[in-house]
Amino acid sequence: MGALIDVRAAAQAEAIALGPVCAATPPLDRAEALATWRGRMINEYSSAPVFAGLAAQLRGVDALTWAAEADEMADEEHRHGALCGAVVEALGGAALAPAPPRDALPSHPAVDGWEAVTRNLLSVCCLSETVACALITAEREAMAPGPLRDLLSRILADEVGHARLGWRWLAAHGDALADPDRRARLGAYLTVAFAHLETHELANLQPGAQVDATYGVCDAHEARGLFYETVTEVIIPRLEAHGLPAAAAWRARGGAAEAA
Amino acid sequence: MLTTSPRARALRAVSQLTFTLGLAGCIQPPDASDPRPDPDGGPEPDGEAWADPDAALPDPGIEVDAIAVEGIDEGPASALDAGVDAEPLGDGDLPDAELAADATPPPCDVNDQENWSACCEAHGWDPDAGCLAWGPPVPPRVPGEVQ
Repeated sequence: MGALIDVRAAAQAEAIALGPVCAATPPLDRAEALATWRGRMINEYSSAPVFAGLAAQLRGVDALTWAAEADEMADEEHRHGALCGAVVEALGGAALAPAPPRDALPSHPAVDGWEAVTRNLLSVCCLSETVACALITAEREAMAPGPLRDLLSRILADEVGHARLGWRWLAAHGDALADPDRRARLGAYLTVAFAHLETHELANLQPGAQVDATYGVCDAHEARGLFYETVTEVIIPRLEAHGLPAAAAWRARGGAAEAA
Repeated sequence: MLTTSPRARALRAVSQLTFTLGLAGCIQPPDASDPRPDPDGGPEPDGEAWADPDAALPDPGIEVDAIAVEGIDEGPASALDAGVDAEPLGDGDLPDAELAADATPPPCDVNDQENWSACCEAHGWDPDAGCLAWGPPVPPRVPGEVQ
């Protein structure tokens, strides 16, 4: 028997009412919405161990305050899973799903502890969570006022904190980033991380499904465009401002994808 | 559908969150002369919030201009369509009776936890498909690097 994500109790405790709009929605639309929110429930809930792993790595380099924040973020990802599950339940589904297999957070033993956790913060916070903030913000903007938009607002507020953890870490460690060799190594890691990010986002943003902003079923084609804009217009310039060769890493990502 | 406006506003908001106090002096503030229009005419940027690492998410209407980097490969245009039109992630394979009427084999029983995962797999349910890229994946390892 595979592992299950079962947040039915927590989701029901977060019960939201979607109201008459839900009742008027044809079943096919509801199926799309159910699949989307169940997928989000899985992704959010499954990402809690990522932050728990980050917390352990941060403790390993005596960054205790940062570690406490990462621990809280792990709890927030569990809560987000329940919130997404609440939408599943409100749509008539069950907040229950198979848990996807997940690798452990990489320890990057080829580099020192600080650089290892910096690699992971770059990937998780500066890349993935920053893109997530853009996607959720756009989706929230497209949504009419109501309980679902309120729910997205709660999730977004936390996701902003998750993204900022990485950006604050870079800002707080300018001295460590001043080492040109370290910058070059982190740049090499960014090549791998960008390739990984692009693969993940394109796999999760599949055009062709129905679009219904009312229920947060976004236009994957538009979302892909926003993903690329977020990387090229926001993430790369900010990483460059921290002295990391992000533009070159992005250009080289194709080679990293082939090597993987 | 995400219109141009929410997309532009999302970019501006996410641009703001990446700023931190430690870098505030190194990066130019929003350029009021930037010619890119804000389709919704959002308010002017809040300079204090812009530099405050602990500030809450700015109102999406706040105008912050993204910094353009020349020469960046924005990815192949075709990548926007690279996913080909995927089969919608139907829920007929999930335990929602009203949605599963046409599903074969029969829907999985949500109360049968012992067989639930296997049942979902038998239906080919792909949790990675759809429009749902949120929670961060596990960061990658470096290929060829000692682990």
